[in-house]
Amino acid sequence: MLEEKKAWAALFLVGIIIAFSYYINYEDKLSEASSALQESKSQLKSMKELLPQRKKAWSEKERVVSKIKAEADKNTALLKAQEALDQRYHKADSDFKYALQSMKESVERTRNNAPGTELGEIKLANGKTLLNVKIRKVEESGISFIHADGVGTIPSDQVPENLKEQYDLGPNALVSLIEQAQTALLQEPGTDGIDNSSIPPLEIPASAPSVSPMAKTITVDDSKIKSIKLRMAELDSRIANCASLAAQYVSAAKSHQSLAQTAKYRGVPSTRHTENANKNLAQAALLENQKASLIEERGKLAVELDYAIRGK
Amino acid sequence: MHRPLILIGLAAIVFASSCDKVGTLNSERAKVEAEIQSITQEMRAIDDKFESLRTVPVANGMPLENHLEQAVKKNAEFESMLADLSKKCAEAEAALSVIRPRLESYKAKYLY
Repeated sequence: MLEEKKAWAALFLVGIIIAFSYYINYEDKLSEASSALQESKSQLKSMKELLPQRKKAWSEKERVVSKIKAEADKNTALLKAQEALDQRYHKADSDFKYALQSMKESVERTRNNAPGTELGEIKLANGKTLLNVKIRKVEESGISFIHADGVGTIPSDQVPENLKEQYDLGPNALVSLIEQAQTALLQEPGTDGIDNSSIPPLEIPASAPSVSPMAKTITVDDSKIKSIKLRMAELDSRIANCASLAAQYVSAAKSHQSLAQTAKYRGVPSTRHTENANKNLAQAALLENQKASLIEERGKLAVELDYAIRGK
Repeated sequence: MHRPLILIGLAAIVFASSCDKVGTLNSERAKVEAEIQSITQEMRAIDDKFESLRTVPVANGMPLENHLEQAVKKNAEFESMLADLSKKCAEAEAALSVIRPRLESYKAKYLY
């Protein structure tokens, strides 16, 4: 009986130990799961705080992009308006040219036909009357007449109105009016003078920015491609120059190092050669740095050119 | 005699029933993780949009805001110049509408 009790007690103890170890293990798992959950919750909280900020930042960006799109559309409309204005401008210009030429020819013919025309009696603007008047010559400054009192040239401002009109004389002459109007038109720059090339290329999303960002090129500047190519050519030349100079300095440095070695063997001072070699090496290093920065700059230009060409 | 057995059994039942708490925590965590995943995807999509703006050289790499400012300014200048030119064209056309009849009238009166 006693032995049986002892066996049960032992069994109970073993059970307690097993249960306790399971309990410890369970507590560990519980603590682990709880801390992982806390961590995840904390991450979720911070992400939930960050998301609206990112959304807000993007919506602001999107607003700017849509404004750029509107400006690009406006730019396109202005370019169309420019074309229409160009046509109007050139038409007006050619109309003036035609009118001027036609009027000049007509006036010239009228004036050429004038000599010998008998006018009888005419009354000048100053009130003087000329008798038996015959036109001798018509010029811009006035009309030369043969009349009863002799021969004389009457300035255009004194000539009767009907003759002024016929020979297109005086300040109200049609030719001078056309010339004035044409000059006023030509004084305007025309659309050729408008610096529309300086309008920056507007590269914007074709539709909604979130779907297809930065896809549509509205305006491409050809001069930009040209200037990039020119700049690249200039950089190529400078890079080659730097490389050549650096090689020369390295060669000179080697030569001075060799001289320094020889001087050492001979037991004569070699400091001067060593200094020269170091100076040359420093110059070569400087040029190498310069070359590296030029190559970097050229790389950037190459990327820019690529985008400019792709944009086109 | 059966008391220890009963106690052990009770302990095992209590232990077994409390094990479920870990499962609950894990399933709760899975839900949180799924939510994190969803937000991460959303943020990644936004980041991609930003990235797409960065990779394309907008107006020679200048910030969008500056680009917009410059575009507005240039368009305004362009518009003003076109308006001025349009006014001058209209003036020229008005002058021509006066000149043409006078020219025709002159020709009719003195040439034909």
